[in-house]
This record gives sequence, structure tokens and C-alpha cells, in this order.
Amino acid sequence: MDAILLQILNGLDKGGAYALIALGLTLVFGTLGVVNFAHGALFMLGAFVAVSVQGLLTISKKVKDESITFFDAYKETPYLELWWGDIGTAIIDFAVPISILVAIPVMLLIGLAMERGLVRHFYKRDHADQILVTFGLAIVIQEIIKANFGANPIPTAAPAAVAGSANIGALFGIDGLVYPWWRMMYLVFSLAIIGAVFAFLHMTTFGMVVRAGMHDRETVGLLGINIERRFTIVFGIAAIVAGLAGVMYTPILPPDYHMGMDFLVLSFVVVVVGGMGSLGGAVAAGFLLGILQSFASMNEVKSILPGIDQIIIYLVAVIILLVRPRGLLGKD
Amino acid sequence: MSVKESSRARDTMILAIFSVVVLTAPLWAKLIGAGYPDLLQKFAIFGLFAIGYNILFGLTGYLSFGHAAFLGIGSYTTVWSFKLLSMNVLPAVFFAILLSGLFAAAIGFISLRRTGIYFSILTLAFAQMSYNLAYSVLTPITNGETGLRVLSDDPMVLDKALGVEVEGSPLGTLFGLTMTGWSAFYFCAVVLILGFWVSLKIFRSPFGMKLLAIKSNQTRMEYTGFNTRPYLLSAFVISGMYAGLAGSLMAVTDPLAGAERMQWTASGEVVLMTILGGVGTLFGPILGAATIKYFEQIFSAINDQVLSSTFDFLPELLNQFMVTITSPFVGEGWHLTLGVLFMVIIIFMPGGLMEGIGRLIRLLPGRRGMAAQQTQYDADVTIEANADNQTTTPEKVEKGDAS
Repeated sequence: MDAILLQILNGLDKGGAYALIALGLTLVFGTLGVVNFAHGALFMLGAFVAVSVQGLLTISKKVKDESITFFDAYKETPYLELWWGDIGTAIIDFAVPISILVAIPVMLLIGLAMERGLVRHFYKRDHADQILVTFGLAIVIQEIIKANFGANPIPTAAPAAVAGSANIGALFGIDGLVYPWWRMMYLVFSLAIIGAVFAFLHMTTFGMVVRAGMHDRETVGLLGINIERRFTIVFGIAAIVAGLAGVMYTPILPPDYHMGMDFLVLSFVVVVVGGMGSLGGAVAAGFLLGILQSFASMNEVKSILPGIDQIIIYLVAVIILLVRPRGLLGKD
Repeated sequence: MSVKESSRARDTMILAIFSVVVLTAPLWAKLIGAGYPDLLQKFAIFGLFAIGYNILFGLTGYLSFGHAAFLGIGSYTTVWSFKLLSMNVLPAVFFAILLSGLFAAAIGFISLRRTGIYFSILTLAFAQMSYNLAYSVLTPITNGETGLRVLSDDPMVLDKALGVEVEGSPLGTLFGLTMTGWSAFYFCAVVLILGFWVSLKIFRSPFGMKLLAIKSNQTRMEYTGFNTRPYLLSAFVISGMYAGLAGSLMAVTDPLAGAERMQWTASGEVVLMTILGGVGTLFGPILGAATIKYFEQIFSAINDQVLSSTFDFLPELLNQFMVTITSPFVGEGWHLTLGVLFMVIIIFMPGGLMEGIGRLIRLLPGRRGMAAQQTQYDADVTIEANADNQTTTPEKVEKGDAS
């Protein structure tokens, strides 16, 4: 029982990441009709915003280490600690949460630049061209990151307060069921973001117009609404969502330059399973596939079906596409 | 002379010229610094891969992101044939084509039920499944991360029966001729010419015309009572067999097969090659493959010192400036150049290098008429296919369905 519960929990945080990336992908597809292969790169850029913020906060200088008296010893001390003492240390400790605030404007700008600069010239071209040009862009972004940050994963720690594990088994009366705090926070965070996106689309006038535009772009345009501009902003929002998913994921998986590509392929599968352009479908499929994947990696399952953990997501996608081509929640 | 005969004569000419160019590659490639067998055989192998991919993507417009799987299957089959049967390359190549064709038939049968982006995702899913399995549970067959290689104490039943001795490290042979250095290149070159010939025949055949018709308007084809599925499946299987052949040649020239060959980025690479050269043209894919492999070799080798000696004629400050702005694009960063080049091609020249060459020829003064005829012939298929692009292609139909 507790093994099953643990697997569900394990799947939820990964599912949260899939859901967030897939949400942005499907939002862009639903509004702009663009298949964006560079969306994974946005996720990766978000993670590297966190890396950069951590790097900036820990800019340091050599200070003489007074505790060693035999010889002159120096150690690196961040300026923040020198200036503000303990408060500085605390700020450095909270590098990842601070990055969230930084990432929002940064990702919005990147998203807008991407849409205005490249993607909008491809609305009229076919999907193959869109896939190819964004694939090229993804390679370029990836290589720029590799050139600046190197090829190795860069560890970025969660704040010490939430670095440990929670004994959540106690809540259910089961012993020994522990779960890292940060993963739990990731789940809550991703649900909050998903909720915010849905609220934005369903409770604001802006969102209403966007939904109307997804349904019938031409009519909305004829009503004198500049739907293109709103869709551009939607692209920016999708970039923010992907970026935040990346920022929050850094303590779980140290970011490297190809993490975007790894997640992109899976997220595409998630989008297709959920139904292209269906927001609810993307979220549901994200969590579903995350949980399925963690179940498939249980030893009990693997002993019956060896290798199932490696292919489960793709297998589900193949079956869904053949049996129900429009996806789980896609409309006809 | 009838039209048909003259076009046949022209095809023979094309094939003859192509063969001469390929077979004399060791001579002229020296001029551009590529005159060594390792690089030239890479041109040939990836050229074959791209030619095959072009039969699917160029003619039918179906964008597959999973062809690397067939490449890997071809390599593994070849190495297994070396291990179990004989170091002779002919059975190895034969089995590689056969097996990759079978896999292509199975994967194509399922994937071709869908069109547009769904087809791309399905092929991607199958390729990733193959890659993941090759790395994990199939380790007994694929030898996982280490890669599969031929050992001197492998059975090699046929060789033992025929009393063929294998000395030293096992290398592929063609009835005694060891597949290394120039002999390996010539073997690849001959296979490339054969592959090109088959592709030429397909382009000129009614079968090729039907594939093109599917690309320009599949719905209309179906409305006229035409079952497109068998044609698509044949194209898919043929291109899968080409990929298997290319994979096999990789293992022939270097008897080692690794799973990284099956990763989806490898599938992306062949798409790049085909697009860069020119989708749907005869020569484009080979040109694209050779260009990418050439620049990979040349650019990866350049470092800051080479750069600064290149810009030596400039004053000191300007020299340093040039080195600073160009160095991210060479050496380790050559993929960046590739990405940028690729984007530029897609944005400004969707017809690839072949379109660029066509434009250049048309610019030449006094050659207008001839040039037009020439490009018409070279790219006859592309222009038609790209021209009235897809008002009701399956992709758009499906997209309309989904949104």
C-alpha cells in the first residue's frame, strides 16, 4: 500500500513538470497553430536563470581566514555575506525562490522576442517548416548555453529549510514513508501555476478574448480586436510557464544544456496523448504519464515486463494515437 | 527521338556523371582538404541515408523523426552477421537491409495510420523506444553502452566452414579484400552509386509520381478512389532500407555498433541534411550530407590559433576582434554554426542549397534559357511539390479537427 502511495507521489512531481511544459506547448498550438520544438529550450533557459541568479548572488572575493594562524589562508566569501552577514547568507540560501521572481520578466521578454522575431513569420508555413525552424532555434539556444555554462550539470540547491524530507507517512498512519519537501513544493507550485493559467483564461476579459480567438480567430479579428497581439502575449505566458517549471526543477535535477531536449520529446508525447490544443488534456496527461512512469519503474513491475519503464510513455502514446487519435480530451 | 528516349538518355548521362564524380572523389576532394578515406566514406554513407530519407520526406512530405532507429538496426544486424556468420560484408549488408526493411514495415504500418505532426510523433516514439530498449533490456543483444563489437573468438560459422582465417582485429572483408582505407571508400562509393540509381529510377517512375501526388494533395488522391496507404508504406519501407544500408556500411567500415546512433537527434541530423541540400531533389540530399559532414570535420578542427593566423592580415586590434566573434562558431561550437545555418536555410531558402544553386545559375547573364531548363530538370519535382503548397493537406485537415 505505502509502496503504491510512494510511487504515486514520485510520479506527481515529474508529472507536474510534464504538465507545465505540455501546457505551454498546447497553449501555443491552440492559439497560434505553431508546433514549437524550441519549447523545451525555454524550460532549459528557465533552469539557467536560476543558475545565473545563484551565480550572481555568490559573487565573492578572497578574504583572509582568521581561524588559521600557522600561515596566510584565504577563502572565498560572497560579497553579500560580507556586507549583510547572516541576512546575506539567507538570501544566497534562497537563490532558487528568488530566481522565480527574476525568471518571470526574463522569460516574458525571451518569449516575446521569439514570437515577434521568428515564430510569427511561420504562421502561414506548414507544420513541417515550423517544426524544423524551431528545432534549429533549439539547437542554437542549447549551444549558446553550452558555450557559456559548460557541458556539465550545475548543482543548484534548494533552501536549507526545505532541503530535507518530510515524513508524510505519519499523516496516513504509515511508517517510513518519506518524501522530499522540495518535490512536494514542486507539485503544489505546478498546481498553482496551472490554476493561475486557467483562471487567467477563464476569469479575465483578456482570457475570454483569447479563448474566443482559439475557437474562431477570424471572427474575433472582424470584431475589431487585435487578436495577433493577444496571441503574442499568450506566447509570452507559455514561455513564463515553461521557464518557471525549469527554475523550480533545478534542485531536483541539476540543469545541463540538453535537459530541454530530453523533456521536449516527452512533453510532445504528453500533448499528443492529451489532445493537441486541449489545455485540460495536457495537464491530465502530464500527471497520468508521470505516475504511470513511476509505477513502471517499480521492481515488481519490471520483473514481469522487463524494460517497460523505458518505453511506457511512448507505448501509451502509440496506443492512444491509434485508438483515440484526437487524444484523451481533444475535441473532434 | 521521342521524349521518353531523350529523357532516358539524359538519365544515363546523369548517372554516368554522378559515378565519375563519386569515383574520382579521392582526386578532387584533395583540393578542399577532404581527400582521405574516412571522411569520403562518411560522405557516401550519410549521402545514402539522406537519399533514402528523401524518398519518404521529399516525395511524400511525411516528416519522420525516427529514421535513426533503422540506422541502428542496420548496424547491429551487420555486426551480428560478422559475429555469427562471416566477416564477408555481402551477407552482412543483405541481412541489414532485410531486417531494417521488416522493422520499417512494422513501424510504418502503424505510424502511417496518422498524418502530419501525429505521424512525426509516432515515428519519434518508436525510435525512442528502440533507443531506450537498446540501452536497457536488450543489452544481451546490443551490449548496451559499451557498444557491440566483433571479437576474434566469435563463432563466424561460414568462415570456419570455408576455412577463412581471421588475423588480428576482425575487419569486414569482400572475398579477401579488407574493408579499410581506400577499399572501404570504394565499396561505399559503389553502393552509393547503386543507391542513387535506384532513387533516380523511383523519381522517374509512375510510383514516384504517385508519391508526389500524395504530397501535393492526398485528400484529392483519395477522393479519386486511390488507396494511398500501400504507396506510402512502400516509400517508408524503402527509405527504412536505405537507412539500414547506411547503418550497415557504418559497421562495415568500423565494426562497432552503439545505441547512440539511434537517438532522436541522429534522426534530426538526417532531416537537416536533406533540408540543407534540398528536399525532393535528386542531388540535394547527398550535397547536404556531404556539406554537413565536411564542415563538421573542418570546423571542429579550427581553434583560436588557426583563427588568428587566418586574420593575420588585419591590424592587431581588428584581428583580436575577429577572433573573438568567430571563435564561438568553430571548434566545440560548430553545432551552433549548424543550427544558425539551418535556420537561415529554412527561413530564406526552403529549397535548400539546390535552390540556391538554381538561383545563382539564373543570375548568370546570357544563360537564362538554358539555366531555366537545367533547374527545371534538376528540381522538377521540388518546384511542383512546393509550389501550390497544401491548401488542404492532411496536416491542415487534422489540425482543423483537433483545435
